[in-house]
Amino acid sequence: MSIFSFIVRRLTFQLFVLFGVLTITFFISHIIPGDPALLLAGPKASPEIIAKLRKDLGLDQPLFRQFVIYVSHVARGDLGTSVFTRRSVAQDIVERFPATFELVTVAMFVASLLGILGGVLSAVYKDRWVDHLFRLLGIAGSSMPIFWFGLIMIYLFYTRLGWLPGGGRISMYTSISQKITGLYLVDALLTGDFAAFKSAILHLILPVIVLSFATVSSILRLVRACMLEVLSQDYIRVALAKGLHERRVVFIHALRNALIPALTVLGVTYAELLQGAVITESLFAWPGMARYAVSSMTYLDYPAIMGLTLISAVVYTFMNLVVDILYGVIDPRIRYD
Amino acid sequence: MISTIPQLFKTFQWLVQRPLFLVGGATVVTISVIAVLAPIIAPYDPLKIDVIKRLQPPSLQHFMGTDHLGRDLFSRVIFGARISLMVGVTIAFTSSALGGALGLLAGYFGKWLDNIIMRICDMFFAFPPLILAMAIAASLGPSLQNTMLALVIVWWPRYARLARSQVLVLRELDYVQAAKASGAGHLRIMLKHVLPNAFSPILVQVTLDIGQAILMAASLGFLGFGAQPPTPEWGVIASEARIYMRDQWWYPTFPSVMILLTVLGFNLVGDGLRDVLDPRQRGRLSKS
Repeated sequence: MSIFSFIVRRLTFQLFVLFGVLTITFFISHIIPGDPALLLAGPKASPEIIAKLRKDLGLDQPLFRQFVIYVSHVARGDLGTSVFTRRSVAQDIVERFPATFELVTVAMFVASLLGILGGVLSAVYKDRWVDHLFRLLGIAGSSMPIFWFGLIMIYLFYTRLGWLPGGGRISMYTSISQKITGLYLVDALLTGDFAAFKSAILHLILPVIVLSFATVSSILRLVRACMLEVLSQDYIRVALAKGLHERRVVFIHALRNALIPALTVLGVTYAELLQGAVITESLFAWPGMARYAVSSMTYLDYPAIMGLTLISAVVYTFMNLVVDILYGVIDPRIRYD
Repeated sequence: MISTIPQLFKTFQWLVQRPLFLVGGATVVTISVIAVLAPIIAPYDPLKIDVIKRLQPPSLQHFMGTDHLGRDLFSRVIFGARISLMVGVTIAFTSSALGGALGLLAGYFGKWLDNIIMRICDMFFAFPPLILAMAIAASLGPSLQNTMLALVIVWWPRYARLARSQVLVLRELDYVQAAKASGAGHLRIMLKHVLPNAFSPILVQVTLDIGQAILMAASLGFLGFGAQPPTPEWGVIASEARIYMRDQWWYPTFPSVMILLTVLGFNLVGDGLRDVLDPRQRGRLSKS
C-alpha cells in the first residue's frame, strides 16, 4: 500500500473515532445532574432567570436534538460559545493553543534528547554507575508527584535563588510586539526582538524541566532496553570486529535500529506531556489550554469542556498517525497497512 | 506460572537477589500497615481544628508540624494512607476486572463482538486519560467516589487490550483446542483454560497501576477535581499547602513524600513481579 492511501485510510478511520469521542463527551457531560444554568445564574437567581438561561443555552431541548445541533455546529467548525468567557470556544482555544504547543513541544524535544542520550549511555555502560544512577532517576521520575516537583523547583530557583522567573510566559517589562504564530520563541526571532526571546526562554526553563522530568525517564528506560537488544546482535559485533569506531557503531548502526520501538512511545509520550501540562500550567500560571481546561471544568462550562476534549483527542490521534508514518521513514522495511 | 514447591523456592531465592524488589515490597507492606492501623497510630483527630497552633514546625508533639488550620499534619498524612491505598487498589482491581472480562470476551469470541469492544476502546484511547478523567469527575461533581469512577472509566480499556492480546494467542494453542474438542463449554474454557494463563501479565499491570492510580487520584485532588477538603487525601493536603511552600516547606513536603514513597513501592514491586512472572520481558525495565 502506498503511503498516500495509508494516510487517507487512517484519516477516514480517525473521523469515525472522533465522532465516537464527540458522542462520549456529549453524553457524559449532558446526562449527569450538574446544571450549568444554575451554576451560571448563581445561588440567588430567580427561577425565571434560570429558565431563560436554560432556554438561551439550548438546555430545554430534548437530549438527542441537542446532540444533533451540536454535531452540525462542530462540522462547521463552531464549537459553541463558552458559558463562562462568553466568547466563541474555538477562538478561546486558538488563542491558548500556541502557549501549550510551545511548552509541550519544547518539553518533548528536551525529553527525547536527554532520554535517548541517557538510554544509549546506560546501555553502553550497562551495570556501571552511570546505568545505576539513571535507573534510580528513572524510577524516581515515574513515581514523583509532578506538582510537588514543580513546587520544589519554584521554591529553589525562584524564591530562594532568584535565578529564574516563577511563572508566566514572558516578563512584564518585555512583550511580543507582533503576534504572528503565537509561539513566543518564533515570534521574537521573526521580529528580531532578542530581549523578548531571552525572556521567553528563561520563562520556559522551569516549566519544561518539570514537565519533561517524568517523560525523560520513560524514554530512557525504553531506549536502554532496545539498545541492549540491538547491541547484542551479530552485525554490531561484525562492525566492531572490522575496526569501525565504537562511537560510530553505537550511534549509527545500533541507535537507528533501537529507535524504531522507541518511536511507538513517542506518540504516547506527547499525550503524557499534554496531561502533565495540566498541572504544570496551573503551577506556573502558564496561559495555555490546560489552564483553560481546569477553569472551564471548575465552572462546568460544557461547550468549553467538549471543545477542549475534542481538540485534545484530535491532537492526540494526529500525533499517533505521525508516529506511524515516521516508522516507515526510519525503517524502510516496514510496509504501511 | 508457579506451580511446584521447588519452583516456589527458586522464585523466593531469585527475589532475595533483587534488593529493589524487597525495598519496594517492604514499603508497600509498611504503608498498608499504617493504613490499616491509622486510627491507632494517629495521635490526633485528623479533622480537629486548633487555629491558635497553626503552621507549627515539626516537633515532638506534632511530628510533621501543623497545617494552616492547626490540624496535626502527621495524623492527616496517616489517614491519607488509608484513602490513597483504597483509591489505588479499587481503581486497579475494578478496571482490571471490567477490562479483563471484556478483553477476554473480545479475544475469545472474536468477530463482531471483538470489533465492537475494541472500537469502543479506541475511542477511549483517543483521549489523554487525565483530561478525560478531569472532565468526568468535574461533570459528576468532584468527590472521592467520582474520582474513582472517572479513573475506572478511563483505565479499563488498557486491560481490555492487554487481556485480548493474551487470549488471541492462547485461543489457538493445542490444549485449548483439545478442551474444545472434548466438549468443554465456552465458559469453562474461558475461565479454566484461558484466564489462568492470561493472568500473570494482568497481575503485573495491576501492581504497576495501583501506583499510577494513586498518583493520578492525587493529581486530581491537587487540581480540585478529586477528594474535597477537609478530607485528608494527600493530593488535597498538598494543594492546600502549596501557598505555604515558601515559609513552611515541610507542610506540602510531607504528604508529597508519602505519595512518592507509596508509588515508588508499587513500581518496584511491579517491576520485580514482571521479571519473575513474565520471563520474556526480563531485562526490559530492570537489570537482567
